[in-house]
Amino acid sequence: MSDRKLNAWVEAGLIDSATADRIRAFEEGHSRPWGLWALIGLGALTIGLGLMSVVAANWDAIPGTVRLVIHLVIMAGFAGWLAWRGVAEDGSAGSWFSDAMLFILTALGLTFLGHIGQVYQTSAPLWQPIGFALLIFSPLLLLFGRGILAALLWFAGLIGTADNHAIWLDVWGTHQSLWLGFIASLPALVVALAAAARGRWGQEGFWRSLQQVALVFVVGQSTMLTLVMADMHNENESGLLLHAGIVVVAAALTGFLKPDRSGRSAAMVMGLCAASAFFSTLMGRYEALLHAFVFLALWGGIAWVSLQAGWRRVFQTAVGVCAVRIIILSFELASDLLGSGIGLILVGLFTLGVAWVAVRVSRNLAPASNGEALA
Amino acid sequence: MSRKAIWIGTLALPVLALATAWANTHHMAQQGTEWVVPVSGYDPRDPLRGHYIRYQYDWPLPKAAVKEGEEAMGFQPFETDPVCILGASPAIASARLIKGSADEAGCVSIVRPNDWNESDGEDGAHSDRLYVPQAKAADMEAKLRDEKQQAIVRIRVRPDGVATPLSMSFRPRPAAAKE
Repeated sequence: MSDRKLNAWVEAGLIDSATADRIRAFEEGHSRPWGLWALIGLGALTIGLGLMSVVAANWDAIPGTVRLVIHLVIMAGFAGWLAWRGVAEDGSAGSWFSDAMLFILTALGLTFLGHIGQVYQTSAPLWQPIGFALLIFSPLLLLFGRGILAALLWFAGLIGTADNHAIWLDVWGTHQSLWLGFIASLPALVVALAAAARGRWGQEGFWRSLQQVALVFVVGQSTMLTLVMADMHNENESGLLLHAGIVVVAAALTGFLKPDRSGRSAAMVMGLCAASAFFSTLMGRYEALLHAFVFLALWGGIAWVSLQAGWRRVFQTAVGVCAVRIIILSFELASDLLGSGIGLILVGLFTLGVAWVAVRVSRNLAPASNGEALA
Repeated sequence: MSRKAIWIGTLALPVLALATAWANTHHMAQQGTEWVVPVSGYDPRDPLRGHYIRYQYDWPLPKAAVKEGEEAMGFQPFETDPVCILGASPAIASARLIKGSADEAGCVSIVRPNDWNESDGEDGAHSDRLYVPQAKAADMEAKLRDEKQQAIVRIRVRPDGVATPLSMSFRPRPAAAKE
């Protein structure tokens, strides 16, 4: 707190001088040696960087076993320090710090697997080490994660394992359509899991973040599907139908396990995702109008749900996404019109019209921001 | 169980699991028989990728196994069969491709291709990659390109058919090999 500001406020008559003195006294009692802390932090960082440089420069000269021992000792020491320090209370100021510590421990573990592979010249499909790390760190992250950082980390591990496993199956040439459909449905099941956990198992911040992240991912999946299906030959029809079925079940579970406004809204969004996945799978390719209709139904539905749920920013995003898709559709349909000047002018006018309507709608109809974030 | 005990348990789990994974990898690395195999660059213009030298094994296969047309064109035939090694470790007397499960009799070691391939197709039996330190990489890449040098990789073949490359060395190529 600067004296200059306080003096200015006293002069402007905002506070009286007695208040200013009390503020000064309070600030003095609560001042923290930020400058000193910054210096200590800088010193520690410099030492750390120096150590890393020394190790990196002599990496090949250090025997592999010694390197692995050091790596494991650092990790065990770090875990031991965390065990001694205790766990941060849910929602406390230490939540972020606690998540950051779990993040570092996980990073140490994942790199240790890579380190083993380098020393012993082993190789394995990427999904195996990621999946192993997911397995051994899941109890820690799911039971003691506090917020978005731990949620993102765990979800990234799940998606990293699932996607690399699917790619590996594909390279190996086994088109296990149903299995791929199940793997693609894991994020939807995570939404249902988070719905079950919220309000029951504590860690409200973690499970809310995990549900949000997974729900956004499910919406992204269905959106991509409506776009890709319009252009691609579909070889995985049965898998995609299974996926749509599992998303319906996950949606029902979400609504049942968390029967409040937020749970039901998430369930409705997932229902829309399942329906759009179902219809875009069954539709023939090159049916531009039909695929665009499914897309607009998905995002129009999301806008409607946001209206009910009071998600202002989601509503505005959904309206914007719809507008962009309509504009792209007008270009798709007018591809032969584009050759003529009149066609270009019409499409341009249409684009401006859609943009104008979208801005009006998202301004006038959007629910008032009441501070509640998505889900 | 108390909350503290669960906290300590969940922290200990990854550390113990990784230590076990290391012990297991170490144990597996001790298994098997060592062999010395002549190799050539996988892609002669670009044998180095990242920290890895990519190469293919020049197994001493019977001449008849190599299709004449392919040899005349200078192509390495694309193989996917397991390799049967005969000889006394580490010197390979001869090798042949295994065309069926009944064909495995008499093999001292069998190198089986990975049941998964990386996108580049290194299957561990006909081609593979070796981690090389950065300081040695340029020198090894140059020697691999040099026609007067024969590159040799020492591998360890486990009983389950997994070959692990251990090191790469070079010796002058015998003049007779040029034909």
